[in-house]
Amino acid sequence: MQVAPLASRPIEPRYRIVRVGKKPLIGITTPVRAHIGAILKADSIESSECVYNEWVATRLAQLIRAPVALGLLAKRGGSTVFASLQVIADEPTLPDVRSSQIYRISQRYPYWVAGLVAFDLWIGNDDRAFNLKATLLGVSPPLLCGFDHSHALLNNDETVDLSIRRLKSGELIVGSHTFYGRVSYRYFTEWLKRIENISDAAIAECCDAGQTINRVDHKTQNNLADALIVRAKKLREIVRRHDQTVFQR
Amino acid sequence: MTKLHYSTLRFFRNPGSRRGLNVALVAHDGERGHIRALGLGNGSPIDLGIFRARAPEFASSAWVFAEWVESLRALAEETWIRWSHFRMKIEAAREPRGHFRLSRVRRQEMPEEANSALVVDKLFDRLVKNQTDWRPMPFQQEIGRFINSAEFSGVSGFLQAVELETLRDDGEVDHKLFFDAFIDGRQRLGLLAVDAWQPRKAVRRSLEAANRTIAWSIRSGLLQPERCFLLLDTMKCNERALLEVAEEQIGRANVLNLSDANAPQVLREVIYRSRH
Repeated sequence: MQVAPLASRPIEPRYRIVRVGKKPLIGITTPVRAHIGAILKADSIESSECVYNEWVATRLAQLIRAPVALGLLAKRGGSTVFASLQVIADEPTLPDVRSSQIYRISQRYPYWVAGLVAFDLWIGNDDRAFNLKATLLGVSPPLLCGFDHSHALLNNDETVDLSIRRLKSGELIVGSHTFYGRVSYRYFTEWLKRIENISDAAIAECCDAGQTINRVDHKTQNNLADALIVRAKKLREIVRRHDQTVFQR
Repeated sequence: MTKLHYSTLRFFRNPGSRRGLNVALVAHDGERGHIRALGLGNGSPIDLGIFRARAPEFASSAWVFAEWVESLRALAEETWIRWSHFRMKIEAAREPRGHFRLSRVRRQEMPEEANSALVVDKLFDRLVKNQTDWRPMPFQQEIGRFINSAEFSGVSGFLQAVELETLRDDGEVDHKLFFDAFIDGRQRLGLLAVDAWQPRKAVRRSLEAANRTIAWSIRSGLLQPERCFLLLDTMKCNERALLEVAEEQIGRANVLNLSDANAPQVLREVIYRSRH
């Protein structure tokens, strides 16, 4: 490779800048479009009202600040789906909770565990199992978060009508729960108070989508709201009748 | 002979990417489980410094790595499990996408009398600790970090990823040149970056192109040799002959080592000198 001697260089080179790939940033507060991780859920044979269930469960959880993942309705291929937002936005996903970690979780988060159990009892969620994420180490931010409510509310029994009837009936519904036997009675009663103190109108608003969501029409939405209002008032009595199941190991 | 079953936990920069860094190893010898991870000592809390050094752009998310190690430790300590359970549980925890993914369960034979903990240590050293085909940061991000450290972007006339054309006296295009960073104006400066982690042929092509750009920039008077810089991971680059060509043209000091923490300072001094 030959480099010409200095003497042969032109005094002022002629050049033009054709393209600049990246200009320096000016200001840092400009709003930008972004993508957030979510898991999309659709209705299926196994859970025919999954989308509506998930959406209502999220709204109800927000009413009492139960530790449940956020989510919203979205459109996909012409039908309505539920977008369950990633538990920790913009971070690598946490591992699934292992059965041998349940005790530690209940020790680390007794208040949230009580909240999760109270919430599941209210909405008739018999499928908590390991549908939750939690951090266990001191270096991590505190986090306990439940997700997946497809088998609660309108899907807690074989049909929508049976499910609504069951919610109203005062049955325990949640026969087993990951945290049964590990719930603090004192904290649980605090959460129970939160549920009892919700106004009927607020519950009705949570259930009312203002439109049919896939197969769930306005009438069904109203019926569910009625059932949840009744169940909120009966919950203390339901738990009292089953306190051995809920609180004792 | 007996068998050791194992799986590695891999970290990926993007949930969909295929090139990952091994960060932990979970194994089962038929009797008990073993866990080894970067920064995991005996009985002490995990030191996340090693993970942070290997994936600096995820430094603030290192706690997620610690949670994964904790989860694998719980799995390894579930004493009732045997090989078949181990394999089943690893398979159940495997995800096709995600920043952290477990590899398929592999098997290694070892003599009956072998100390399985030592075999796991060796395996960990080979697969995780001494893994060399991992770059600490994506190349473009690394250049960005370098430019920031060199305080390049605050200089008037600074442009990044610049394509320019030198012109003949009649106004026709003579040469097309590309610079990763360029300071336009009276005291021009050009920086070329070469990704030394590419396959060898690609590194060679990139270096040849950089040398051509340097040669023409000097020859055309666009840049003075002392204001032309080549940036690359010199330790990773095997093309010594091509590097020497660059050094002949612009001087050894202007071939900057991307992995050298002092390299931005060299550039900063040149920029500073020319402004005062």
